[in-house]
Amino acid sequence: MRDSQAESQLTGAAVVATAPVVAAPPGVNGAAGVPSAYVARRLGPAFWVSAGWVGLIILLALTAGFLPLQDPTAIGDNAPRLGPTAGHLLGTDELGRDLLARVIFGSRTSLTVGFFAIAFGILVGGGLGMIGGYFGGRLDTLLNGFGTILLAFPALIFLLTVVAFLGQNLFDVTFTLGILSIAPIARVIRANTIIYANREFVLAARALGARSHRVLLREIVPNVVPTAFAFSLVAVAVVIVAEGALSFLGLSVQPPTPTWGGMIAEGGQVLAQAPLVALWPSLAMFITVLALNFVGDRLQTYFEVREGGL
Amino acid sequence: MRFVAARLAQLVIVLIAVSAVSFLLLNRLPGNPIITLLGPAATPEAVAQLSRQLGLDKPAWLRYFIWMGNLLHGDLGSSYVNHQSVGTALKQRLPVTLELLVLSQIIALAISLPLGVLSALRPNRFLDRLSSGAAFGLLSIPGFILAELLVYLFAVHYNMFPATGYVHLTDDPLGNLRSLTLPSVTLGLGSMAVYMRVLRSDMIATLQQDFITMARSKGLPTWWILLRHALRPSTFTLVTVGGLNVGALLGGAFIVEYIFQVPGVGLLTINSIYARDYLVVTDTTVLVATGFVVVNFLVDILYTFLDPRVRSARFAS
Repeated sequence: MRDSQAESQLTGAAVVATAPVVAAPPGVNGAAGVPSAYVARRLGPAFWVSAGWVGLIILLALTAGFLPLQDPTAIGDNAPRLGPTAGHLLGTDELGRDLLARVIFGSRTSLTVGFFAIAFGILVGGGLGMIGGYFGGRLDTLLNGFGTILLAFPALIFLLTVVAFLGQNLFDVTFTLGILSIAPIARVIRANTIIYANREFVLAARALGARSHRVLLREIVPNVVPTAFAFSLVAVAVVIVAEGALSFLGLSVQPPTPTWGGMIAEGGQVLAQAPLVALWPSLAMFITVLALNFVGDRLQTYFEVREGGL
Repeated sequence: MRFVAARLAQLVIVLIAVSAVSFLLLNRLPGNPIITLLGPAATPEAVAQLSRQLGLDKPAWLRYFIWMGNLLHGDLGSSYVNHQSVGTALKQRLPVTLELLVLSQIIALAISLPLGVLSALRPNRFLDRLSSGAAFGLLSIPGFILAELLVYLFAVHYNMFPATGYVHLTDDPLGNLRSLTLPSVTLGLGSMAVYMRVLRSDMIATLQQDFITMARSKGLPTWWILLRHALRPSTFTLVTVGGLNVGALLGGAFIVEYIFQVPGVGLLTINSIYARDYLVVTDTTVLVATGFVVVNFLVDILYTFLDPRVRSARFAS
């Protein structure tokens, strides 16, 4: 229950909780023998479609500068609020800016914040969680105590206040979200480390005289990485939603840089006249978050060690 | 009882830590309330005088103790910007946020309980797949997107509910419900998806227990078994998750409050952030954090009394 609680804490950070993983923490005995536990060890076409979307959006974000797109910030070149046409596949917004270009350039903010914040969280939180889980004892108790206090903070309101006063730029937003992700990630990694810390192959490595850092790096890490990867995809989705909420409130990266949240807020102003302005960034964010959640959820089931199969 | 005492001690430690960290961190952040109040052209004398007047010339740790002392006496201080007492402001706004919370949870439970139970009855069949898929989709919709979608459908397109604004319960009870419909549906749908998934998976596990087989073999009707035998033991995780969710919503409802301009604690926080009104932001952050921690504590205690297995295990130790 402990790691699922940590997950729900992290997801509680987002406006929408991502409980897919909360619902059935790995190894819950009640779920065994139920048809749903009978998920074939295949990832299925929906997984590849989702993974494809994530890959595509990353590729577009990376190559946005080289694509034949209009300037996403140029004001006044085009008529405002155009519907989709051949020249503007998604139409234009209130200020005549091309929406396709803005959605693609806007993905850069979301993806940068999402992936870098979680990379930071995995590096720090994953390291701490593994050390606590492997060595146990007083150090673990201490780290756990800190974690409990950190998790007691209502993350989103805290994020809002810190970013509001610290500064609204890419670095501060990413860094704050990265800090907030440490405690929940550490919990999950710790729980996963404990599963492996007492297994026979770890005992064997220690009996052979391997030092702690070698056991951690060569025996524990390779086993924890798959679960950590799956979990971090879901965490990236949570962070993207949180960044979206910030930029929706105008507290993330500032205009004229396009962000999905900012575009949705702008579109919300002209919902009655031009609903498409809000629709495109909303769809882009929804599909990206859905795809990340789905891929993460699927991988989690896929990597899960089934005791019965051993 | 020893368990309750231990959790109570933990609660106090966490509360002190949360309030100290919030206060000190928010105080250390750049951006000076004095400059905000007097404007950048203020003379050094005026700045020094106002700092003394507001007590901002003292070191942060001392101000924390003063603030904490006042807080324990029920005095939350007054806003630097409009000099309104924060206590009064919260007294007006807390009921609005709580009403929104209660309504959203009623909606969430009204949908998730029947759907969760029926999906668990026939897992992987049509209804289960449909509702699980819908729940997964709902979980991936950020609250502010869901809010805009509902505004577009029910306020702009069909004009059934107002898009923004709040009518007081005492002024017009029906108008009050109308004005809170869209915000509480937005919050409720998000919670609903979580609750449904949790209830479904617990219910599936319960339905495989021996006492359910026993009840079935006695020939009891299915609805009776579901409601009288299976539902209660399947709700333990739901209570935990629901409690955590309500705690998180205390702070998480603010974006919904902002979109629909519902004058709750969340809107107060956001407006104070925009106005650089430090004291109000600190107070609301600590209030929300306290609420969150206390709710989590209560859930843990409630859980003990709800589940006889946990109860006996904890009282035995």
